[in-house]
Amino acid sequence: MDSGVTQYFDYLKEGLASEGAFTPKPYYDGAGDTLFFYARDAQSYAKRLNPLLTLFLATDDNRLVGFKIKGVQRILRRMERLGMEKFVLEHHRPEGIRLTFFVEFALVAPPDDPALESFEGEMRQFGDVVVHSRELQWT
Amino acid sequence: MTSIPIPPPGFFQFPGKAPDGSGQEYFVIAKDGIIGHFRDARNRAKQLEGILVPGLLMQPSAIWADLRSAGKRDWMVFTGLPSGKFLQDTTIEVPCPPGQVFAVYIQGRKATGGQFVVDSWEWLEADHERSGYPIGHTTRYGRRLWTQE
Repeated sequence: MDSGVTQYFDYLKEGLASEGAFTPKPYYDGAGDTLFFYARDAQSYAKRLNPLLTLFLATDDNRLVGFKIKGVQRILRRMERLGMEKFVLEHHRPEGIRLTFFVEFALVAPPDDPALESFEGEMRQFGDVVVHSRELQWT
Repeated sequence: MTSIPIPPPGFFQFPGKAPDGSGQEYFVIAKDGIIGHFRDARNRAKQLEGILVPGLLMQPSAIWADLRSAGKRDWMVFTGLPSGKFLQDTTIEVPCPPGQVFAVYIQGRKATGGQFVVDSWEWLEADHERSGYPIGHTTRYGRRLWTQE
């Protein structure tokens, strides 16, 4: 096997062997300008809700596992136009923005499939999760 | 690509199919990118999926370009059916979920050594009429670069 593959697999196996509980926290992918959020550690598949928001649904029961929001920098620019102070958490260090704002902006576009509308409420339960400004590469 | 490029610091490198299907190219993935996040968050499901990435890049069913998603016109996606997927740990391999295909997204910008950069991966619903193709491939992606058919 290629040595690079072996090193990659060893890294993954090391991670899988490490102790500790799953932590639901957002991750911003700068190259793809996409915010990922996995609320549960479960096998999932992606299902597009609208052009900005893709759901991750559990393989076994189709329950919500997480979601990703595309076009984050564009959402941040909309926030700036409206006054960033409305969105940035006061007295919170490090500085951050609640996930709910990104979800609500992304939900402006209607769902491709009306049957997916029920997940909109489910996503809001994670609204208080904080996305750190530094991670968003926005200052 | 004839010689093996040097991976950038902090990246894993492995071979895969050239996007035009003509031979082999090299791919890299950042240790502190999404795989580092999944490791840090103890997201076992996504780390187990990560094991499928090198194999899928080597043996995809199809390779697509021009992703019709904001800012991803120059990205690619490799889709296909891995031999199986892993449950709980790396020793229990089970068949792929029926009706799904695995997708690996490749960034538009190459690494310094000319390698393609792996961004992320996920399972997608399959097109029931085209094995190894994701549902909506005609609207999600602009061009098919290669197919095993």
